[in-house]
This record gives sequence, structure tokens and C-alpha cells, in this order.
Amino acid sequence: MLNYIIRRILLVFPTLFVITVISFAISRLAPGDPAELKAGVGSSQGLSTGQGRDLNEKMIELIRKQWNLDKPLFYITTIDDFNDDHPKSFFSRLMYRWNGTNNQYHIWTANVFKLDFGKSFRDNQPVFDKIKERVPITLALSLISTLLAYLIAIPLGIYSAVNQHTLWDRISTVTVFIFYSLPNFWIGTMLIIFFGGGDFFDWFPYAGLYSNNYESLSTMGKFTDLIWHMILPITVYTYGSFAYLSRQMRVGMLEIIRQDYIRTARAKGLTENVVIYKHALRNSLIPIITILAYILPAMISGSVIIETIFTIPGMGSLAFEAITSRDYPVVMAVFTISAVLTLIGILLADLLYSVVDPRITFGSKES
Amino acid sequence: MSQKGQSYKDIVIRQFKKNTPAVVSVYIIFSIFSLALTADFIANDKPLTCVIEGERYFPVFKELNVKMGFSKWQPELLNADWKNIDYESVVWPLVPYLPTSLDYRARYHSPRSGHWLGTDQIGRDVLSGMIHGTRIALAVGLISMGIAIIIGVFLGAIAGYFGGLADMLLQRIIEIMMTIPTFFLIVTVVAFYPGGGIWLIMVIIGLTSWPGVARFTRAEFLKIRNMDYVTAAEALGFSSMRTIFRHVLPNAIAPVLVISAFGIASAILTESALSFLGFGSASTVSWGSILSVARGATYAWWMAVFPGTAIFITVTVYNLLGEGLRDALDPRLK
Amino acid sequence: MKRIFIYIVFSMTIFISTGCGGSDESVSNWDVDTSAMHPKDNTGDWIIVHELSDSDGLNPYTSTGAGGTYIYSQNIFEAMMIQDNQTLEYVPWIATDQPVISKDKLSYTFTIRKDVYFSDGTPLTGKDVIFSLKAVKNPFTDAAPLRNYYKDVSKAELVNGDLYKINFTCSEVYFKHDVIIGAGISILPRHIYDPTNIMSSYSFDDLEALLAKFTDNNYSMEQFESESAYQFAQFFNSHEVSRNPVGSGPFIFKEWRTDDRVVLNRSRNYWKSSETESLNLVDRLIFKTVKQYDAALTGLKAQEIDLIRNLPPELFFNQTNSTKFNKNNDKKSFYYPNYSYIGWNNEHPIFSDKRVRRAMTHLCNRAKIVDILYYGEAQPAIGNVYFKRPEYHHGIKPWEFNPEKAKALLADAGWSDTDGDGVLDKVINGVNTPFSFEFTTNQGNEIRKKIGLIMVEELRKVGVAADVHTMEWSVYLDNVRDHKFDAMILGWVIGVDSPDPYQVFHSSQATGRGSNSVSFKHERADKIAEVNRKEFDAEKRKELMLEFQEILHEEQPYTFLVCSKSHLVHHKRFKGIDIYPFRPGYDLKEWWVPSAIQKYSK
Repeated sequence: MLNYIIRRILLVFPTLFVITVISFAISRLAPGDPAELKAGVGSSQGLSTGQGRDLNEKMIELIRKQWNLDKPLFYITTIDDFNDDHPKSFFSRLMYRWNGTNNQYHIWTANVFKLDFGKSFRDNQPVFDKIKERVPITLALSLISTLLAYLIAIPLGIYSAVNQHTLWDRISTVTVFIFYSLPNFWIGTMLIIFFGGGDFFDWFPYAGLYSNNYESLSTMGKFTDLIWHMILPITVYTYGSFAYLSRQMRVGMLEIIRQDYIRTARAKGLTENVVIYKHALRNSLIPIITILAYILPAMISGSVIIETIFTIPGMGSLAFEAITSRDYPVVMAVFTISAVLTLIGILLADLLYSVVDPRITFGSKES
Repeated sequence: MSQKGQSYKDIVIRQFKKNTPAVVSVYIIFSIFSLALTADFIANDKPLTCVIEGERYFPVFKELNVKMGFSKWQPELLNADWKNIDYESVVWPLVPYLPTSLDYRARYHSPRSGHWLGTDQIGRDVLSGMIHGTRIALAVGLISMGIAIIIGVFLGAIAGYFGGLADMLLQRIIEIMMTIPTFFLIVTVVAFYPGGGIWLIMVIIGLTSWPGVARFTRAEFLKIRNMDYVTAAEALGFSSMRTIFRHVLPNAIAPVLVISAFGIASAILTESALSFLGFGSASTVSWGSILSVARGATYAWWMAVFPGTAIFITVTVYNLLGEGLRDALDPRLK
Repeated sequence: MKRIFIYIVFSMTIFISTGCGGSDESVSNWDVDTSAMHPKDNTGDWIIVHELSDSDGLNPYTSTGAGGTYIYSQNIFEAMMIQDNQTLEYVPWIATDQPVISKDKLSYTFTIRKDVYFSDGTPLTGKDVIFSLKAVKNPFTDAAPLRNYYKDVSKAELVNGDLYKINFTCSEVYFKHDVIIGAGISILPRHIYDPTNIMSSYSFDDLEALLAKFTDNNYSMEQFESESAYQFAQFFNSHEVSRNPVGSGPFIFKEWRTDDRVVLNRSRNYWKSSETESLNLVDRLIFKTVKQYDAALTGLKAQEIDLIRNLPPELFFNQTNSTKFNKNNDKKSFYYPNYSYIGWNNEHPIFSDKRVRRAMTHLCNRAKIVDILYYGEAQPAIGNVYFKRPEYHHGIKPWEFNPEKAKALLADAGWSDTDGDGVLDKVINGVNTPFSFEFTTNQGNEIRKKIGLIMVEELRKVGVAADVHTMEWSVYLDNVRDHKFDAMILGWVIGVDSPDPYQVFHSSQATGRGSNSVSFKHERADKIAEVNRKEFDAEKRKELMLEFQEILHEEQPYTFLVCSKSHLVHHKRFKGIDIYPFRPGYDLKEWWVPSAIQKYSK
């Protein structure tokens, strides 16, 4: 067991390496020259001097130098060998040049380990500070929603499975299906329009996380204010995932209930409650735990839409804006950090997995 | 007591038929498919057939032929203004509009005769958009999940069955793929190839969904491979591949089917989310694009209700199908 | 289970109904009789202004978001001259008089007041003005677009060491230099933005030389880093600096919560307070970021937001009619200088032919567009001049919507459907090319997208296959500047001053990422633009501009679409609101709220 844990944790590092490479590659794949972008960021009225070398050209070169964009991308660069007039194939014409550690990827990754993600292209703020402000918000919303989803889904799923084919089961099935099919961005907008104080009800704030007079509130007041602002977004986060979860719970539970050992337990005369909660539950939790690892990244992705609709300053909206404005340092940082968070989540899920089902063996099969 | 001589397939089908909602779902899916295939004939701005000055024409068929390069338009019909021709006799399709046709006199009309499901701000008919949108919805679901399943099941089965290095490698790959924020990835890729349109979106959704399938498959295989019948199969000398695909897979497939149903649903939802954020070609009308317009126009309830209902029905139907299949395939439920 | 579930729902219901703090309905009558009131006796209250997105900074030279300008321009920072809201003339503000201009129009001398000071009490002198220009000229600061703008202003210096007299020397004649220098330079306090006084050791010539030096490839980053101008720029460009603006204006910066709001408080220490008693009456300006207009409108109805400018017509005409809305809010619509257009890439083989561009314009149904998309609140545009300007050519009527004429023009230009597939084609460079292309525009702009879709339909009817593509704003701009498009749908917001078409239509601006993205090249037009820049007589400029518009009308490098109105919604409690013809259309410094109905207190 300990062996397994250690091995598991060690394996995180190669994964991390690949993640950084992919984050880097992804942001570099986007079209457009970042130097050009920075030179004319936001301005649609660039003036060209027209004669000879333009001011703009000089500007762009300087920016390239400043931001290391003139360095090679990676450790290795492939170049066509133009001296080879009779190439045997496309690949044989390629030469490789070793760039050593003086390449963009390496410089960036080395800094990442110092938690220095560079500065934003857009406003020069250290990226880490930007993320530091945002991550807690997205994390808080995601974790609360996940917790809520589980709290609602598990009892719901169990009850449905145990009381299969009853009216309750049918109603909850239909309701859950409905919840699951409604697009979250639509629901979010509808919620704001109907409950956010527009033409209909004024029960919740229409946007943001803080009221106008947030500063002047007491600590308790601030807490309540935050919660009040979070209710609508959390609702949107949660309804989809709890629907999915409860279905999974139901399916898993149904399978377990039909197992022989459950019949045995019943035959032994144990009460239904004991049968369900002591014996069936543990095994039916397995697929649910697997899903946890899958839900976290979904939360991070889903945060883009929800944070945009509710104007919440979290990581999702930061990432989307960074991609939109081609703010490479921020894009890479967000990719990497959300990947790392997910990695931690998966690790936990796997460890929990082994706790819940010791029957599962790892490594090669035993004969 | 099962009857002798019935194949596995017969047993499954019989079991499936007992589940009414699932059976109904199959019919609905079939209808949606037919709608998608015949969309051109049901909603089009040209007549199905007509007689002009003594000659009989078949404009809708002609257009299909021309699009496929098999023939060319008769000069008198080239870019004709179909609505204003003097016909001797004419048969229009059920819905006489294309999703892109603009009826300037009927802007933001609520449902009424002439536009049964209403129109949008520039006069595009919602019903036509919904009908042609079935193609996109189905394609999104099937293509993306198809890719995901093919890759995911294959890799998951191998990893789960053989364990060891294969398992570890696959797990690392799955981990990496799952840690990448898929939505950002999709957004970035769509930004890189703005010409990719909806097809690129489908492929990307598929390529980012397979890890989920693989994980489930692997989990099932892990549970099952230690079961007796697997050991028996090996003792009998069956090759690994045969064991996997003939014996273990049918039992492991249940959660995969459930996942596919949900996967198709989520793919459709993802596509509408992307339309909401403004991706995909602007002139392609999908359920998601109609829905996103409805956002800013809450009084135009028909633009939200109909595509929303369509998404809901399609998604539900796939879910029911998945569940029905699961129930029917599960040997323990008989 | 059932019990727990019910319990959860129950407690949430209780929580919701007690936990909310919605708007109170206590003050419902905002129509107070103000005839006996003086604005200056009614100071107080806040204005909460809606912003669509967070600005990237509040440094007037490095920040590029348009939203930022509304926050700091004239609120935090001031310039020597200011544009009078009513007369639109530029009048002295920090300067004492109009500048003295030399006969050759290359030298501008400004005298400034001696009683001006920044919000921290430090007196403002000519040294601050000179420093501000140096910050722009420093090649390492993130002010590239502005640097281009000031390229012909070569230096500034004190006249005979007089701290309150500054002379600007220009290398080219340009009739707008007095405005660019007088009203364009936001004056930064040197002691805050350059605390170690680095820039005073650089002359303007030094800065020019520096600009030329660093393109030499032998220069490494290390050599730059040792240059103190570079170190200054690092400080100047930094996040901290752009987040903590300090100026001489009537409002001082209080806080900025990212993606949420920027707060400005009225300064208690404003140098011009005695002369501006009827201005700057509110205690606080809050600029609240809400990224979707419909959410913002909901916020306005909930009385959490006081002002939304430029509401899309879609929302304005359909969602601002309820009784609840009318009880607490007012709305105003007004024209401001702008025009939308379709830019045809003149270097594209299809659109290089003038007849084709004209045909495209004949296929543009402007009346429909105004009616459908703008709800009638826009008017067709015929050129680059705002219709309220004296230079506007009233004799030009837009080419009418006429598909028959379009077909004839296209046939004339050599297009016909030779293969009977419904799409016109023509042999270009030896290849039979179908008439098919793409409109591109930016994501999120519904109107532009719909204009594209309407055009696509009309084009289809005459055998042109077109499509619409949207992309993110920055990618879009990038492509536009690199001329990677067939046809783009975009708009310009123009100044309310005398037009200068050089930047957008002169052929020299078609290279090097200039603004002439359609590559319009016309000899006579070029000449007019050049002469216009040096012409100081307004009447003569008018003649030039009339001819210019005729050329544009004939050549159709753009299909000019419409000049649209801005739709403003605001809370009813504000008085003193006047509408002006330039962006944003209002001046918050004039707004006030009678004490009896003030909503927020300090």
C-alpha cells in the first residue's frame, strides 16, 4: 500500500512535465504574433509613418527582445537542410539544432518552479498575483458546488435505487433528466433576469460577488453578503452535476443490490437499513469516487461561462479573457495551475478508491 | 428459465422491449434521424415540384444534384426568386423556408400561421432552423462520442485487462488528458482554426472525451478480470484478445453505454455553449445558436422554448436509451 | 433521505427570503422641483457607472482600454486645454490663454497658471508637462500608438527657464497640433511617476537616438537594462503604477477591485474648486464592471447601477418599457460622431475592381438595416464625415439598394455563371474562380454579424456565395492590420472636430499596420489628405473635404453603412444632465442629486 502511494506520487512529475509542455505549446499555437499584439494592443488606430522603417517595426522588435520572444521555442529546433538536393524523404532533410537551455520553454518552466509565471502582456501585473486573487474564488465555488452535489445526489440515488419503480423513483428520474438537459448558460441568464431584480423578482443580486456597500458591513454581514451573491452561481454549477451523480449512484446501487451477497445479508435477517448502508453503500460508492476526478476539471471549465454571466472574478473568466486577448503568460499559467489542481484531485480520488475497495489489485495480474 | 436456442442478442432485445420508455426513445431517435435526413425536403425555400409555362420542374432535387456536381441549373431557374414566380401549379415543402431565409416582413414574430414557431430578429424562421438543426445536433453527438468511444474503450480495455506497464502508461495518458482544461483547449483550438467551424468542434469534443470512457472501461475491466469466468477462459487457452472482446467486454459495456448516452447529451450541450460564446460559423443555424440569441431577447420566448425543448428531448431520449440498453444487457437483471 | 431533502429545501427557502437585501421602495418620487435649488448646495451621493469590461490600467499613456479613458480622463488627469461642452471650442484650463503659434506653424508656446497643484498638494509646473511628453517619447514605455501620434512633435522646453511657459517644436505642419498638444497631453506629476528624476537627464534628441539605436542587432537585452531610460520604463509600465493614478483633477483614485469596480472619490483639495462650484458635485464615482449588457440592465432596474451608456438597440427598445423601469429611470437617445462600414479589401482580386465594389453597395439594403437592426434610430452614412459637421456633403445620396443595377455592374466587370451552379464565376489569372468570399467581424457584436447575414442573403439572390465569420477582437484586429480579410464589417468612432482622413485613407497608411486596412490608393485623395493636414483655414478645409467625400462615393473603398445613435439609460434622481455630441455624450462632472433624494452617503 505504501509502495503504491509512493510510486503514485513520484509518477506525478513526468505528468507535470508533459503538462507544462502542452500548456506552452497550446498558447504558442494560437495565431498572431504576440509582439505585434502587444505593440498595438487595443488600439485600432495605428499610425504608420510610411517612410522607410516604421516606428511600429522598431517597437515590435524591442518587445520581442524584452519578452524573450526572439529566442527559440524549445530545446530542439528542426531546420530543413537546404544543401541536400536529393532528399530521400521529408524527414531525412531535417536537421536538428540543439538550443541548450536558452529557449523560451525552458526559461518559462524554470521560472514556474519559483512560482514566477512572468508578467501579463496586458497590464504587466505579475501573473501569479492575478491568479492568487482568482483561484480562491473559483475553488470555493467549485468545492461548495461539488459538496452540495454529492450531498444531494447520494441520498437521492440510493433512495431511487432502493425504491425502484415507485412513483417517487419515476418522478425523480424525470426531474433529474430535466435538470441534466438544460444548458447552464441559459439557466444562469434566466435566473438573473427573473430573480436578479429586473422586471420580476428582486431576490438575488444581478451580478458580482460584493454589494456596493460591502466595506461598511460587519464581518457577519460580509459573510452573509458573499453567500447571498454565491447562491445563484452555485445553483447553476450544482444542478447539472448532481443530476449526473444521482443517476450514477442509482445505477451503481442497483447493480450492487442484485448481487448475491446482498441477498445473503437479507437472508441473514439483517434490517434493510443495515443491508443498504453497511454493505451495499461502500461498493456502490466506487464509480462515484471515480467521477470526482472527472468533475473537478469540468468545474474549472464550466466556470468560464458561469463566471462570465455572473461577472465573478474567478479563474474561468481570467482564462477566457487571456485567450481572447492573447495574453500568453496568463494562459500558460492558468492551464498549468488548473492542471495541477486537477492532478491533485485525481490523486486523492485514486487513493480514496483504494481505501474503499481493497479488492482491487494493482500492477500485473496474479496468476 | 431462459429458453434453449435463443441467442444472446435475442435475449437482450426481448429484455429491452419490456422497458417502455426506452422503446419509445428508440422511436423518437429514429424520427429525429429521419428528420435530419429529409430536412431538405421538409424545409426549403424552393418548391418540391412545380409547373411553369407548361414545363415541370423539381427544384429541390435539382439543387441537390447541382450541389453534388451532377448537373447544372437550367438557365431560366438560375437564382430564381422562388416566392414571386407565376406558377401554374406548385407543391411547396411543409416549411417553405431555409434556416437562412430572411422574411423581412416577419421579424420577431411569435408563433403564428406562416411561421409556426416564430422568427428571429432578421426574419429567420425558427421551425426551419430547428429542423435543419437536427443534423448538427445528431452529428455533434454521434461524431464526438463515436470518436471518444472507439479510442476510450480500446485503450481502457487493454489497460484494465493487462495491467502492469500498459495500465500505468494509459493511466498517465488519461491523467494528462483529464488535467488539461478541455474547454480552454477547445476555445484555443477553435481560435487557431477559425475556418474549422462546427466539424472541428465535434472532433475536438470527441478527442477530449475519450478519457472518461477509458476510465470507466478500465474500472470495469479491473473488477471483472479477477472473476471466475475470466480465469476459466484463460485456463481454456483463449487468447487475450478473444477473452477481452468476446467475454469481458459485453459485461463491461454497460457503464460505457450509459456514459455514451450522457456523453452525447453533454456534447450537444457543449456545442450550444460554444455557440453562446460566439464560436462556430455565424451562418450555421444550430439549436445552440438560436438559444444564444434568445438570451438577449427574453420576451421572444419562442426562441428559447423550442430549441431548449428540442435539446431536452434529444438528450433525455439518449439517456433513456442508454439506461434501457444497460438494463437489457445486464445478465443479472433477468 | 426524503426528510433530509425536504429539510434542505425548506431551510434554503427561509434563508433566501431573509437573506436578501434588495432595493427599497421607500423613495419613489424622483421628480423633485429643482427650480429653487443650486447645484452647489446639493453635493453628495454617488454615481455608479456601468463599464462593459475592466480596463487594463489607469495610466493614460500605457493603458489601452477605451473604458479606462472615461475613468481617468478629466476626472483624475487634466490637460492644458479642454474642449468646451457647448461650443466645442478648445479653451484654456490649466493654460492661461490660447497658445502662441509661430508664423511657420511649427512652434507652439503655452503659458500655464501658477496656482495649479496635484492632489497631494505639489504645485504643477512646466516641468511636469515636459516630463509627460518625455514619457511618451521614451522608446521603452508601452505607449507605441501614442508615440506614433506625437511623431511630429519633436520637443518641448521651458522658455528661458520660466517654469510656467513651455514651447513645443514640431517637425511637420499639422492643423491639429494645438489640440494634440494642448488637450491631448494628460499632465502627470513628475515626482510620482519619475521619483528618481531619470528622464530629466535625457533630452528629446537623446530619446530619438535611443529609438534608432536599439534596432541594431548587436544590442543585447543586458545593454538595454543598463540604460536608465529602460529602468524608468520598467517602472512606468508596471502594474503598480497603472493601478495608482495620481493627477491634478477633481477626483482622486480610491480603489480598484479587479473585474468588479474602480472607485474615485471627490478631491477635497482641488486647485480649481472655487471656480468650479457647480461642477464635481457627487462624492464618489464608481465604475462597475458587468460583462453582459442584459445583466447590467437588470442591475439598473434593481437600482444597483445608475448609468449605462450605449445600450444595444435590441435591449433599449424592448426591455426599457416596463412600469418598474419608468418609475426609476430615464432614457435618452442621441447621435454622436460614428459610422459603421463594410471594408472591401482593395487588393483582393475580386474587389480591386471599382464596379464590383459599387455593385456590392447596391446590394446593401440600408433602409432595411436601419429599420431592423437599429429600430429606425440611425441614418445612412455616405462618407467619413459626421453629418452634423459643416464639411458634410449634403449633396451625396447613398447608392440605392438595387439588385438589377448590381447585376449589370457585375456582368460589366466580367462575372457570369458559366457552369450553371448558381454562383457567378470569372477567369482570374487563368483560373475559373467562383465569386465567393467571407465577411469577417468581431465576436459579440450582434449588429455587425446580422448585417453580414443580411448581405449574405441578398448576395445569394444574385449569385454571389458569401459567408460570415466572427473571431475574437484581438485576432480580428490583427488580421485587419495584416490585411488578411476579404471584407470586414467594422465601425469608426470619429472625433467631433474637423475631419482628417489621412490616417484612414492615405495610401502610405496601407503598409506597416497602418489604419488604411483596405489598401485604398488614390492619387487625388492622397493629395487632398496631405494638403488638408497643413491647411489652417477652416473654409478651405471644407472645400477639400467635400471633394474628398465625392471621391470616396465614386470609389467605394468602404460601403458606408450608418451613423447610429447612442442609447443612454440612467437613474431618475440625477439632475443637471446635458447631452453632448461627443463620446460618451455626457459629462459626469455636471451631474448632481438634490439632497432630499440622495441615495448613498459617504
